[in-house]
Amino acid sequence: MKQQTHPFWGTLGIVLVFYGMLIPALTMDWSMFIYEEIDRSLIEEDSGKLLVTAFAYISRNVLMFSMIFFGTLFLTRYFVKNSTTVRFQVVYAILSLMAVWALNFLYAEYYAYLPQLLTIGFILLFSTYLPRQRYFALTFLVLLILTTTSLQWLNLIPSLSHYGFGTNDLAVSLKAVDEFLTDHNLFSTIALVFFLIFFIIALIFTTLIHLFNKQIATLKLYQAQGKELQKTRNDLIESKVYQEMHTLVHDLKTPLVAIEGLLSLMEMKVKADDYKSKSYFSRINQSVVKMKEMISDILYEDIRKEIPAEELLDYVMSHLNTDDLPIDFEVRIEEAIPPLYVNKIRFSRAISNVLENSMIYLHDRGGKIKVDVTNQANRTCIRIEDNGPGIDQANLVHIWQEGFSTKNSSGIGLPFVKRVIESHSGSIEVSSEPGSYTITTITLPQHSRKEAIG
Amino acid sequence: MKKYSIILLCFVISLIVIGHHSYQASGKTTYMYPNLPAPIGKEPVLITSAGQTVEGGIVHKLAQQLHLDAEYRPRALATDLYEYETLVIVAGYSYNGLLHKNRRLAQEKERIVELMKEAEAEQVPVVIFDLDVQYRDYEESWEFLTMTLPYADYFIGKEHEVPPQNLMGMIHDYKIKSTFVNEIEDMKTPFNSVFR
Repeated sequence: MKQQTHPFWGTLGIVLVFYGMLIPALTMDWSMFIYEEIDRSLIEEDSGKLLVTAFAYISRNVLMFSMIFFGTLFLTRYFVKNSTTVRFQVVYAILSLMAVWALNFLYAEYYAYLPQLLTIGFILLFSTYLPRQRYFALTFLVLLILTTTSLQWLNLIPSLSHYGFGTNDLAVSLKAVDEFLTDHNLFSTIALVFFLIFFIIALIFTTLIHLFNKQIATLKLYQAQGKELQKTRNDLIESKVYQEMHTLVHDLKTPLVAIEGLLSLMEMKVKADDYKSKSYFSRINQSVVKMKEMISDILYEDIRKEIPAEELLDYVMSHLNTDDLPIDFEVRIEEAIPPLYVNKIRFSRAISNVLENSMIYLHDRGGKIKVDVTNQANRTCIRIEDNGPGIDQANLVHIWQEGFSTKNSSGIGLPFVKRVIESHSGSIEVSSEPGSYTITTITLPQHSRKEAIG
Repeated sequence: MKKYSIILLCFVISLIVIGHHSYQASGKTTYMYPNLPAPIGKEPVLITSAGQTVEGGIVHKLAQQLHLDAEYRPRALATDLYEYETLVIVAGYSYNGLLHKNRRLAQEKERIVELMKEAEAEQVPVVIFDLDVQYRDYEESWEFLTMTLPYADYFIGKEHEVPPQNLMGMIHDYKIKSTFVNEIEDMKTPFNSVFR
């Protein structure tokens, strides 16, 4: 996984390593307490006190080495972008060992390298099973503390002294007093038990995190598959609805032709002086012609015709159910706007979708919807603004995706609008301020450039 | 497999270090000098530490268990020696011990040198204890041993996994009688033989 190498990580790493190195100096009282308690437990021949002192010693070492190893993690992350590579592990191991060397150089406490080397090895091993997500540093820290605590107890196991464990001053002192008081029985048992306890906890923690991450990954996969399935289903439904509607509309043509023919026959039988009847026949004929045009518009997407903006908006508004809604509509059309060259039915449907979206959110709370048609540099701009709750920035980028909806609808409305507008060589933009407004701006080429339209 | 290479390297190095120690420790025995043929020390005994380790306190405890008239004075000076008949030095460097006693390494070295010279001048027998130098294998610990061994009459130490050549060399060169034991508790026998 690629991670950002921000100077912040490098700085944080240096600060952590620096303070880790200062722990022996900053916790001088702590060290003195440990030394005094070792001495006191010897004078009082109290092995219980010696055990408590051992806890203090382990805590101090865990604090110091956890800070150093956590700091070197950030430093390594600054130098190496990808935390899953061998290069990352090499740099981490080198920086960590260098920090231990510097610690021994600064203070003559002579910390053994072997336990630290094992800590680095185990922490790198465990961390390969940690997911590289946003909480990686936190999980790494928990694991580091558990591993360090576990392996620091090895410093107090007397039989491991021959192998280079626990060579620092306080560890040798603790073990010497333990030998005198309990013949090594206390630390041989307790240190081994604590090492095993913390090591097993670290193992369980790693396993749980690993399994949990696997579950999350599977869940995400299922979610993605579910979304894909939903999209396909929507496409299928849309396609079926479209096909059925297309067939239905096409079938309407047959009765219309019959009506038209019968009307002309009936018109021929009307007396020449029956002007009233002739007027009725004329109006019926006009309606039939309009209906045929509408059918053509629906059946053939490419059909365009000139239509004044005012007429188009009247047509749109007449199809919206705005009765009894607490919504104030304001339509303004600039003078001298050339007629729009559009497919009336489909374009009206697109404008209706935008207006209906605004109306859904204003349905209960009320509000205002403004429609402005203006002329902008040889293009006609239709601007629809509402004072509704607006759209979150996170959602704004998804509104053109099919199936995306925040109101449990099919999520095909706005993608349809975009498709229609683009098929008219136009463009559509939506801007919004959550809690304030939403503005939809549709721009279309004007009549003089209609040849540019597909 | 490649992603585990560094992890494996860490473990392999650790195993090599452990194996190296095991190899060195196996099949080798330390040559042990015999105990003292006769007591060399008298009471009262001054026990002090060269390097301020807690092991000084352990030797004091051993002296108490042996009912010796001994006093443990970690910061004893050369001028304090006049009231004692035997000097016991527990060698080994402790960083925290020196911090606790508010002493610098140079001051501690100077104190030990003065004490050794005074012991030689007063012909006070010197017994050197090494409880944990094999684990306190620090440069400073060896400096204290190098400083004290030339004046030593008897050396009581814990058996090392690997007998250090420089220690054995010094014991041989200065003709110091010495005893190496396995456990701290075992030191009581040679320690007792110094006086009885």
